[in-house]
Amino acid sequence: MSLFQIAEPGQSTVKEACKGRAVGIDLGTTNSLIAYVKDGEPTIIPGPDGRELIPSVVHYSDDGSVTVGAEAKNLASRYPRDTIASVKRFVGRGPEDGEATRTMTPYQFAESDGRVVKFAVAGGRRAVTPIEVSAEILRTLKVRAETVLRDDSAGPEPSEFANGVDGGIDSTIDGAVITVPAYFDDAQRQATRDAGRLAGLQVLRLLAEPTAAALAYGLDKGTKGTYAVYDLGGGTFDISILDLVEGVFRVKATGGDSALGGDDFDRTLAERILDEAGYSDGMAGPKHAGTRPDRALVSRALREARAVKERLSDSESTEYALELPDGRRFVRIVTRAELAEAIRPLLDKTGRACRRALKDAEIRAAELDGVILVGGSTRSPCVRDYVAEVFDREPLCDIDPEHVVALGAAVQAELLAGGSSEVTLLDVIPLSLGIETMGGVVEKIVHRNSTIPCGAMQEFTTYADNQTGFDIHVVQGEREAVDDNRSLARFYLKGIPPMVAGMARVEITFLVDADGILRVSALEKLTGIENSIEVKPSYGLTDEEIERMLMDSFEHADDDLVERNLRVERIEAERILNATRAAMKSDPELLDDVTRAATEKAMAELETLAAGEDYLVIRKAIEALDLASKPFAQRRMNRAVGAAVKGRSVGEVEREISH
Amino acid sequence: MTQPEFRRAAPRGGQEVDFYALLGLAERYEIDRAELESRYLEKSKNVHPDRFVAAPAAERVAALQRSMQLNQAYKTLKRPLARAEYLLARRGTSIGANETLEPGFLMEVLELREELATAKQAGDAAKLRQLESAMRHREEDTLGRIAALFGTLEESGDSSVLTDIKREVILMRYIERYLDEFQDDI
Amino acid sequence: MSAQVQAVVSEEAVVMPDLSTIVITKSAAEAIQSQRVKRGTPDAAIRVGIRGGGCTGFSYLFEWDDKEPKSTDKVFAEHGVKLYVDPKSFVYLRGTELDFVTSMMGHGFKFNNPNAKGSCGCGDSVQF
Repeated sequence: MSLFQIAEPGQSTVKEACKGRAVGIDLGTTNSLIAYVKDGEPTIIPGPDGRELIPSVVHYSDDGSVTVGAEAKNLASRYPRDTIASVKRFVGRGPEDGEATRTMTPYQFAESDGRVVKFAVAGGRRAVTPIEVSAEILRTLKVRAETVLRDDSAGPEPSEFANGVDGGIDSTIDGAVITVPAYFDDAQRQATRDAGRLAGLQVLRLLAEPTAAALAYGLDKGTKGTYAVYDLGGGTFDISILDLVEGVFRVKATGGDSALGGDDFDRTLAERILDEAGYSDGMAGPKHAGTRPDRALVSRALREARAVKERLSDSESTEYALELPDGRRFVRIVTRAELAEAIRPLLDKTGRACRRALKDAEIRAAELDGVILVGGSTRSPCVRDYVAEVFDREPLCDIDPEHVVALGAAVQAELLAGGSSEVTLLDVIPLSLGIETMGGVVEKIVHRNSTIPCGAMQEFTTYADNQTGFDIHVVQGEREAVDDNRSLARFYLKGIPPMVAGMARVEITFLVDADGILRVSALEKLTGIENSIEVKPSYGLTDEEIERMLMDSFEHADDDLVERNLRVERIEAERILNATRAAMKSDPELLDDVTRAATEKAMAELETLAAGEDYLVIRKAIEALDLASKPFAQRRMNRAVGAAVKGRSVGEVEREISH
Repeated sequence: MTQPEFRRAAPRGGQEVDFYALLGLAERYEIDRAELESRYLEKSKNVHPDRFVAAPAAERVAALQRSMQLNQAYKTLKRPLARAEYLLARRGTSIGANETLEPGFLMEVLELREELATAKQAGDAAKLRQLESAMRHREEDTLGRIAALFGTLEESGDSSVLTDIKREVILMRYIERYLDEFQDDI
Repeated sequence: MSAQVQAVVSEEAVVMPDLSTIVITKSAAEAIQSQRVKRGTPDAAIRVGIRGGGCTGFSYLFEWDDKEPKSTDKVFAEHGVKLYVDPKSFVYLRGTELDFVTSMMGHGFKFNNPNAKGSCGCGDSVQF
């Protein structure tokens, strides 16, 4: 934090060398971003191409290489099965989750042991879990941040030609806050945390996306009061009601749908068009006796639907054009009104969730101080109009709705890493947690929208005489029947001494930590014997699986590292060659013959070696050039320092030397 | 047959932890909502696990525990019914899962539930609103009686009032469960 | 010649501060005013300076000074508060604006120092 307080005389403390940075990551369905706090301001870290958003797309090619981002996205239409987009929909899902694996996804699912979805990629030769796919995206973001932060925090050196040639592997990132939809259930949170671990990040906190958005607004605008955050991304919808009082951010209620987003708008539109063109995907029912579209056609139809949707943000109507497999070209006009009408049922789903959240928060829409828009899908005028209608007010959108979550996550990361107590976040659990009891009825133990961390304990007893064990089934959801809720974990508690029914005393304790992750333990305490068991959700990964994946990723990381270092050294080599040439041209009078000859020789060698594949060799050649040109650099530096005394900043001088 | 039978336990946490003391409030039924709110936020700031991210494991666990207790205390004291149950438990009066109810009231509740189910099925919004508002009035009346009884108890220390409070609290449970039915139909 | 230098280009292109002085903003002066009253020393001055330490090699010195300035000190007064700066430090503090800010990250004083090339993440250290 770049803020100071006045110290007593002689008490100014010199802080220890600061640790690495904490970053905030918005791991989105469609796009992801990474941000950090720079000089007190949350800032998005752009990629090497200058773009801030990185498409959340991962391509696995036949040769075993993995591509992430825009490049992967470009491969999606050619290799629909090997290119995973919207992986967030599958995170923490089991194969039997119909919602996650429904039709109109071009992916092929690999056999799995029934707990986690697996994609068959790389031409079917490799099976990857959504956690591994997410970790690839996180790893790419991490590298992006490391590159920028390393440059950013390099110490002051009496600069010569070569400056900061460290291709070191020291991580400059200390920890990360990763955002998740508030509505993510326990399994999805666990899976996200696992993905972070797999990417080599220390996950400081999982933060609900709407909370992050509000943090970003609070920081910039100094707002106070009660806000609704309407967050419609590519694949998830969240609504949260938060208030900010005296430095405490409190989530009062959340709701939403973890499988509803802008992608569904595309899907709705694509289905409609495909249907008209005589292709049906089978979802619309047997009455549409069209031909089943192939995967490539579905991909094209979806892409065009998205483009049409985006164009409709700026214009009232646009053309939808689709190349059909039989060579025909299907063209028709889509208006904004038609899009609004088509997606209305989806928007109504969000509207119901908004009203429920208001009710849970015990507040009326009129009492809100504002409505914050988050997520790329809220750019659409159809969505904005709908939000204005539901809350009866124009929503706020001062901060780019696609950046706001990452910026807020960076603020929280900085607060956590700095141990600052200026802002406290009180978050809630999104769904009730309970246990299956007699007759398949759920007994809720922790209710939804309870502030976390929280815990609750409930006592159970035996049903039959001489019963020596309990089958404990942990479920999450709001419905009364077990089957309508999500099964989180099952475990068996054994070793109860035989006794009359109703005598045993088993305490089941639920503990939800500040990340919203649940731990359940059971304690049989009757005869003084204490048994306690910790469970993990059934869709999470076992420690062995995590370990194996970590090993795998280290192997990959090695390849990545070599490649990255090679790239870094080549760029460095080129920069130094250019700088040296320029310096020799501008100050030839400072160059003696011996130095000139040595420098020119070193330059020629570096030029040759930079074309090679070994980054260490290039690094040595850079060092050699640096050494050879040292006397020249020294003389230039001395002259420049003379100028500095006459009233220019050190930076200015250095800039001059470098040109 | 290994399915567990659920059995509601007495609010054990309540007996172990003094929620009022935790929040620095006097142990009375009537509380100032604004004061509860500000005490809770103030204390939350100091004990929230986020402030102990870098602390040794033992301190982190302690912070987690204190934070949990505080959240539970706030949640319990905020709602009149939960607060009343807590105060009863503190005085050794617990409410079990199978408490008997006045037969007249039980019949009435059953009838009201039937009316509610019919109205829901028919999608009769006007009838639903009418049923809800009728029950809200009863809620208000019952809470008023509970407050008055606690007033007597706190002034005179006459523990015979506990039985009366318990009866009203059981009524309140039915009322709340009935009102829950209106939750998700928006 | 490195990426850092390019960052400097953009930062310096924006403002051209008065390099002959140190500016105290009104809000900084008010904060100092109220803090020194609380401290019981309504006339105390502030000493600012640069010294070694921190992860970038330099850090700010920022403390009360209850004495008269030293003969070599530069003294700046604005909005009723006084700053003492030793001449060596002044080379690195020319054109600095001392501000007081309140944000979600907390409140406190901020050095807007045109000589600084950047600061580390925590901002306690400064880089020239």
